[in-house]
Amino acid sequence: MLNVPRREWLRQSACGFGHTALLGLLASEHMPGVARADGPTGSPLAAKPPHFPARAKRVVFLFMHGGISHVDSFDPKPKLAALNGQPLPLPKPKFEFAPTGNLLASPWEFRRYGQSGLEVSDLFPLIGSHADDLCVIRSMHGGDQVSHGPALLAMNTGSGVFARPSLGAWTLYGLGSENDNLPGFISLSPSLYHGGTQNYGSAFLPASFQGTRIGDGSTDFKSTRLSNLVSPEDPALERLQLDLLAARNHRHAGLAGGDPRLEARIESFEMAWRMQAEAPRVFEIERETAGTLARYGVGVEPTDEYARQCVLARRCLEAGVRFVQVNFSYPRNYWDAHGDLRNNHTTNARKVDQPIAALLADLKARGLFDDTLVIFGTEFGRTPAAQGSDGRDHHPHAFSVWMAGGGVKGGVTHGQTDEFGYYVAEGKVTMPDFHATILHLLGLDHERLTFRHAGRDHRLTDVSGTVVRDILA
Amino acid sequence: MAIILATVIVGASPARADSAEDHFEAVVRPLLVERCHACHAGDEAKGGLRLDLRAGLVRGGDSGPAIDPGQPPLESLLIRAVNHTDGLEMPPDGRLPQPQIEALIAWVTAGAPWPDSPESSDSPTSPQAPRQPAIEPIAPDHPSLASALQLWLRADNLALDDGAPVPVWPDASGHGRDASATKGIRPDGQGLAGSFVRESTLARRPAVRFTNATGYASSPSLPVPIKGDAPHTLVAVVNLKLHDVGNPHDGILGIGDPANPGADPGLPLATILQINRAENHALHVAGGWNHDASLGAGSFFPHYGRPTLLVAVKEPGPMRSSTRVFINGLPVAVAEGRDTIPDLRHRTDIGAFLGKAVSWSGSILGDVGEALVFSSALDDASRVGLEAWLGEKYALDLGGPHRAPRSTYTAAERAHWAYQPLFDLTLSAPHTQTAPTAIDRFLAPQIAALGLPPVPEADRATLLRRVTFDLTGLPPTPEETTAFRADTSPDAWSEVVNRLLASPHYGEQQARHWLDVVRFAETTANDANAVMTQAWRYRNWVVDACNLDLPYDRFLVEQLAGDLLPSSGDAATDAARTIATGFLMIGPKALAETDKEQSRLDIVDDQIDVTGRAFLGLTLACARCHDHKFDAVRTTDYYALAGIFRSTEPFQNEVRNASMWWEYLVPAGDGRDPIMVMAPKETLPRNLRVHLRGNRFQLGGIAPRNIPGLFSAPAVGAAGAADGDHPRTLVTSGGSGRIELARWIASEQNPLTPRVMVNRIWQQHFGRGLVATSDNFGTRGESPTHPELLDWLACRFIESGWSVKALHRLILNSAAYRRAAAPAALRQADPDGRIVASNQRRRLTAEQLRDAVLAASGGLDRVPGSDESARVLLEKAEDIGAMIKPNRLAVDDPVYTTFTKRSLYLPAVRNMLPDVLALFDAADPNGVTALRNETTVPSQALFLVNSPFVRGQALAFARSLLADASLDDRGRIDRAHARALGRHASPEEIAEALAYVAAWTESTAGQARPAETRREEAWQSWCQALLCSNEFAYLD
Repeated sequence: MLNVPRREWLRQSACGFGHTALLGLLASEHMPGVARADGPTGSPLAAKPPHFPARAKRVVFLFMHGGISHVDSFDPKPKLAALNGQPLPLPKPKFEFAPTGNLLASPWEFRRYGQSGLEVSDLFPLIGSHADDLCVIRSMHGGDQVSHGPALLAMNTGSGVFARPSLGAWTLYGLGSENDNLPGFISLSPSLYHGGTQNYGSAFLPASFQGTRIGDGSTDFKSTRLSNLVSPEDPALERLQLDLLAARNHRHAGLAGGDPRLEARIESFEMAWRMQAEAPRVFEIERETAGTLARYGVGVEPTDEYARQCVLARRCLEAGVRFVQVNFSYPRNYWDAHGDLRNNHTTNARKVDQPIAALLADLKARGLFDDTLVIFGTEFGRTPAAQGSDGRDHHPHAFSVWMAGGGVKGGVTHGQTDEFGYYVAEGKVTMPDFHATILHLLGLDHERLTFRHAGRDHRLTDVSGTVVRDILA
Repeated sequence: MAIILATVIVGASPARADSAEDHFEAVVRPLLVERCHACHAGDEAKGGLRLDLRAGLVRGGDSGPAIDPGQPPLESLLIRAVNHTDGLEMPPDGRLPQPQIEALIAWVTAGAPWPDSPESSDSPTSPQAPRQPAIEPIAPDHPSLASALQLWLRADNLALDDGAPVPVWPDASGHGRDASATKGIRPDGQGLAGSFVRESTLARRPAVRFTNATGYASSPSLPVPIKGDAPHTLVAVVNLKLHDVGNPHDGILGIGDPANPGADPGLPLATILQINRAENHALHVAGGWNHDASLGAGSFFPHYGRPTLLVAVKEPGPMRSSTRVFINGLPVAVAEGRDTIPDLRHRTDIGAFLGKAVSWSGSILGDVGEALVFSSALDDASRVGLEAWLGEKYALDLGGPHRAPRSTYTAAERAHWAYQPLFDLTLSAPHTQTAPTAIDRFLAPQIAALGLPPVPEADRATLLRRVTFDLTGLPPTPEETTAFRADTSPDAWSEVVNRLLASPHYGEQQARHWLDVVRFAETTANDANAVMTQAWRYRNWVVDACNLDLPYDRFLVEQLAGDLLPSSGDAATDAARTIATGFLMIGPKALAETDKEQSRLDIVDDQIDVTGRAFLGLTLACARCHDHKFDAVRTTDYYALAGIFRSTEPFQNEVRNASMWWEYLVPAGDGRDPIMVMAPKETLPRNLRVHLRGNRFQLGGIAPRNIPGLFSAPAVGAAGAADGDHPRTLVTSGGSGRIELARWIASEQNPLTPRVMVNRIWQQHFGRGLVATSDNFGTRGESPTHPELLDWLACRFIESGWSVKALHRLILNSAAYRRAAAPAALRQADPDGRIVASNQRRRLTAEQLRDAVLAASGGLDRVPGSDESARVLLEKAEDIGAMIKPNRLAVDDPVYTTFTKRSLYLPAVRNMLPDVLALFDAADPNGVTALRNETTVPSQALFLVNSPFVRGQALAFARSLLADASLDDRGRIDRAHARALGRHASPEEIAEALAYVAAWTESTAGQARPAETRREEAWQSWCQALLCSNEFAYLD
């Protein structure tokens, strides 16, 4: 079951004194740090102008949990086939999760797609059909994070060690939200493990920037319900109760001499009432046409679950949600192919290939593609050398992600790994670089997007990060 | 890119080293000076990047190295910046002309030659992190030393029982010069055997313990091949005690024949490292007992009672001028000596000796861990490497090149208010009606300056609800409210306070505050989020300690080092002290981290962070990678603390590639079964090297275990500042230093500790501390609004024997606490409540809200103390057949709806707090929470209106009202107000409620359910409205 509402449900909305008071309240009084933060006062969730003109207004982050093998998906390495079963002629990394053996050829063929001729393996033929829109970064580097927890946190928050705000929270902090009755940052089916809530949390940022979780990695998305958002009560009776509550609260507030905090709380109940009416309309994907649902793969296996998530993601984006993370996550869905790579990756790819391709097409058809940044990412790659006979181990030393849509070049690759895919050979992109680039596309300067906490200005990229200008359209 | 690359090749290929240097002088240096040095030179360089030294470029600034010799030139930050390759565009006022960029590329490609630039950019006055390269430790059997190694006695290869005599100490040099007790090198040798000590005073490592009659010598049949004036080196690791027995020449280590008193004084026959007690315990290197040549300051041997490394390096030539002695890596000056002897003629038929060598000579008292003899004068690199090896092994407090440069602190840094001694101001202002207590008189001047009418005392019902929540986290019962309203005695208030302080629920509320600060949870977070099944014992210990009013100084010492305190003689007390060190264990930890050392250092970082912020209000952890940007905390200080915590081991072993923390049985006393506790264990103490930029593979100098330098170092310019060669050391025992650290924190001399704690208690009662940033008393924290009051409270706190309850009493008995919440005019004049002219309206915390809902419904199980959380967690945890049990309790598990204990006892799962906590700003146990947020968002309203928990409790509330046959509906409404809001219902409220129930019942009249059910639902709905109301959620 779902527990949709978290504290960040808050929106600004046109609602008189209570609203105004609420904004002021949230902006300063009781959130140490906000008052001292740079940026406009007012609601932390009010839409804010970017630092410079943005190329993307919103983000959909397709997160593949477990570590997709780069050399089997977006980074072809013919040398692996040529030297299959032979030792890596280079030193292996200082950090390895477990010992690995000799080089392992990819079980998949790579094909060139579109005018660009971008190479994608047979794992993702439908994503491949969008090759001319994809910008594949083949030179991602995940630092020293060789296990899932820290690697997930590094990908999502910039730090594998410390509790830091997530990418979505920073985005919301920087840009605010554009919908009054929906959360600004939604994470669909995030894993409860490997950092859990931290991966979409707000850490020291005010809680209003925290992601709202819908479903979790342990539960089939289809059975996810918006529990607290749905009243078990007859609306008329509920209104009766709310009216009683409002009357009592107003009397109390009157005696208290107009404390804005009390007004804000009165308003929060009214806002909750409106959200009960509004949010389910967005969350009911059944409102889509049968044709749309079919294109995504809703209702058929193995695509049903991720297709539902992708449809919902598009509906959220359309409704003004700033940041949607669509997780394919542990423990039910997991790319962690320590053994039987072929079976693991085939099974997983079949679940996501069609929904993602449909999402790209749908965004285009609705005119959302050009100002929506689509990110396809994973916490690390997998070793070009075999683990056991037919698996691959964790590999943060080089891996691939791709972006598409708002502000990135299509049909290109950035960076290179060596001929075995072991190390980055050119154009290394670290996690801070990756994050700096995403913020840049959103019109935010990663060095200026700061929040004062524990005596210093923190930023998503901490003390490094360089925008990968190569990939900017 | 391709074009630039071509240019590089053209520009760089003909360059030879010398022409590249010319190129630098002719083109590059002027360019750097002209375009870069305005911002990037000197100690104030922007971004920490200096471009006026080659080392500055290599070291780099905040964005990393500007040039990296291992990196392709085009990828260097310098070139990317001037090329405008990405975001960082330098110089900021416009791109350099292309030829200049190409010149820089050519220069970097040629290896960035820079004549005459020092390799270090650290000027002596710079407070930057130390950057000197790490010293590579060299073991005695390393090829560079092994050929000269003649004798190597090491106690750690003795396979003996603890306390067993050591008749023979085998030689590990490979030469077979085993040292024997007694006899030895001369027929009249009479040294007795020492005893083997498994955990000695040398970093708790094995040693041979010498009495002042102990002596060893190697066999004369295998003489040390050092003849005549040949160079040699003597090395010993000892921890000596002062004694006054026997011949005053206490030999430590020597070679040759010590026993020839020298008929011919021109022929000394030995080299001996010794202490001459007859000469004020001077350390000598003597050429025989007559100390024909001797060294040493002639002063008291400064190293009694601490681990010491002695090295004497003898070159050919007269002893005074040819011998250098090093104590813990520092050279000892040659002070005196009759060095008339041009050479030493060691007898070739004798060996080496330790301690008492002949019947009439003296010996040392103490532990000897290692003794080595080399047949060469070790050069500096070899000696320093060997010192580093021994230093690491024995956690020695090495100085000289081993040590990170000692931190210095400016006068301005020292002058920060929080570091000043407490100032106990005696008030002269009189008592008045509005300022009846000392606290009020401290507050009065600022209140008077506001010019507003005084805020009256809150009414009794409000006051009782406020203080009952503040002290117990629970609402008052209707009976308590009635009693307090009726009590007209002058002591009524103080009796209420005393009653609440004596309540077992006081400890629960006080514990919740503390658990926020110490980031309590019962799972590890990170990869496994494994269940820590014994963490609840720490939680319950905090409750008990608060209820017992354990003095705060003891409270903190027990948490940091309860395991190291001398036994109390009572097993239960000792067990509680061990449980208290759960403080060090309950933080987040990565179990599956492959880099185990990194994982340990991350835990150490968490421990430093929580220790600094909880007890001292210092953000010490900021100095992990660089000197603290704002406060007087240097990276060296950080690693001095890190050494202490690194010498305390939270992990016992590995289970399936993951680390398992320590759990072990301790006696519970009184014939009860031993109990399993989660607590760390002391391990071999060690000093850490400074980790440059926090990177454990880039090591700097040693930072000996110590408290932060600001508190240990003498003031700049003050007398004694020049003792930098022998810095004061916190850790003198053989332990980690945790106990010393704890005692320093708990010392009355430490002004931060009492200030931070009284401020926390103040914050509990006024919603805002006198220092608003209650975990940051540094320069970036807020200044105190009432510094004299803060110090006055701190002094009273210490005076009371650190009694937290007495502190509560002091604050609660002030008029200030009892005032009503701020009226509108005051809120306008003083929105933050800085002036404390009133009390503050506060929202119930998440736990208080949940407990209050359960208390109102009648469903609260108030029995204190519970291990139910652990049982719930364990029941759900995944059993992977190992000790590590990943948590599987979901955030929406039904247990969160059905659990009836106080919220304090709910399972505390990191990263998975249930809605009832997470939505209402409960503390995130991943870090220190000094003050809860108070956010107001619709998801809270949705939870209160729609969640099964609140709806269920509302129904229970309604049923219990309806079941009370002694009440009519009006009575039920009044009773509901008393239970939920701590007051009677007004006639209007009664009328409103009756009308509501009627309206509800009427509107459902057409439905099929029985009237009785519909009536119950109507009351449920009305009760729920009470639980949702602002009056319920706020304390006035």
